Amino acid sequence: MSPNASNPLNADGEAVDVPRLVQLAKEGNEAAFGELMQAYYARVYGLLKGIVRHEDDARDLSQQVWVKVWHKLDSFKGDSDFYTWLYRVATFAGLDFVRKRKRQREVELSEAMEPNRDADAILPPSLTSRPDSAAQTAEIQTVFERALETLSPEHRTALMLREVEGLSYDEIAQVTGCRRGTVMSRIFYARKSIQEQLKDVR
Amino acid sequence: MRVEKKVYRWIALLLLCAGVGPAGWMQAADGQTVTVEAMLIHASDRPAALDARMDRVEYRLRRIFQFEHYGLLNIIQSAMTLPSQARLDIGHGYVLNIDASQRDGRVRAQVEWYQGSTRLLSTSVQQRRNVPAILGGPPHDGGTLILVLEFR
Amino acid sequence: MNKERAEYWLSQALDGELSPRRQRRLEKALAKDPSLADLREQWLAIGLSCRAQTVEPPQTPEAAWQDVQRAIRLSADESTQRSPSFFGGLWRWSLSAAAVLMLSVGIWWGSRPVDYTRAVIPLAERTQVEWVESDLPDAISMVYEDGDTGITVIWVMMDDVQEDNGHAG
Repeated sequence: MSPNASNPLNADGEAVDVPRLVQLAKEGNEAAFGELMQAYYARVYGLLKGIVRHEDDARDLSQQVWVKVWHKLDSFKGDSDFYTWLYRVATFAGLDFVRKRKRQREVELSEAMEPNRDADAILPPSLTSRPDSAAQTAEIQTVFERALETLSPEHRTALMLREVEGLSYDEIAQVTGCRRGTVMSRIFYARKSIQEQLKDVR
Repeated sequence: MRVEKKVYRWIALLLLCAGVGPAGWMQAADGQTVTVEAMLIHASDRPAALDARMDRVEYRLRRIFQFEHYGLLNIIQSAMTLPSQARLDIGHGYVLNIDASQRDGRVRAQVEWYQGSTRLLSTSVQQRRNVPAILGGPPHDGGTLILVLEFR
Repeated sequence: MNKERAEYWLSQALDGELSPRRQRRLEKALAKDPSLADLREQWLAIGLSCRAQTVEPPQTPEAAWQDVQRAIRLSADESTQRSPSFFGGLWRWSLSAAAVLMLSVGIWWGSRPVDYTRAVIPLAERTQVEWVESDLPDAISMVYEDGDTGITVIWVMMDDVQEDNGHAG
């Protein structure tokens, strides 16, 4: 379990009493919900950014997720930690968004020639004239980002939940709604895939 | 008007789908009946009897795997109305549990392959109709089991 | 221990999810195989890169909360608006009927069985695998598409199951 996710801090660096805020928010206390939202805002945004790979989309989606959390808070029964439930809502929203975006791109055949804006954000660097270590680091970073792009959203999500959020396999299984074995396999294949793509730049 | 544009877009899409009619593009839909076929094959380097029912897949198996011989252990078919579940006894102590539904025009199937109470393999696939998928790996009688799974 | 298994265990070990017994076996394998130790370094670096990816959100939490508050109020006020009737005129009905007719022909045409016995399965037709797992101890699942045929193969490798049977950790 990640202590940061279960014990977030508020703007003043003080620990937030999550169960109390959740209870108050469930009773309709908007201020308590606001405190909760602000404590987890950066994490949820980071998770969504990792899934959708686009800042503006992550920002819009993050807002939608919080609105959804407000409306669905009653369905949180407290069987699990609040953050696993929250990450689950965010993960599903992120994956759903990526699927819809993919479908939309497929349908809009007429716009198929338009370059992928996400891929566009990562331009291949012309590094042949910069054989210094900074350039190599930049190249590795670029290839890494591109390798992350090529992973399926499900694989990327599992890896991010593990590496960034520090969730255990059981927690990731809970968040993503799949089995522990699947989580294990997704993280393994995600690492293999990225490592394969980084091979050439090392 | 925005709504009208949306309608035209849908109609254009329908016409496009109908006009192009790509071969093999048979979408699976809820309420539709599909036939699932499971072919249990024993792959080994020991000679096996030729079976005409394997003609359709043997050519492919030889290209994919390195086994010398492929023997048909059983072939079983069952009709499924999507979404539904089926339990197929494929013989030799093996059972398949299939939970199939429709998803994006494909058959989405969660397949569990059991030997007794041991789950040998469990997977979730999205398959086009008439496109086989190959599952395999469990050892059996000095060889390896291969299961060709297809929805029609 | 074969390489594939060692890599699978290595991934679990990095996440602190490998049993102590397997951890000991993995350490032996790491000591023997420098390429495996190299892989560990690479995967650790991938983890660092993932964490380096985390970016500052574009808004302060307070500003974001104001936006969320506004969105919550808007969603509460939102009255359901009925869409105007899609098909108002006769010509639209005709167009729709023609579309349905052509769609039926298309479906009939497309529903004829295709013989994939020899042809390579086109990319769009290939099977997508969401996940694979096995309850067999130490089984390693693999998914690959055969390049020659386009068929998706879902394989469970159990070459040294016997070794661990009965005393898996």
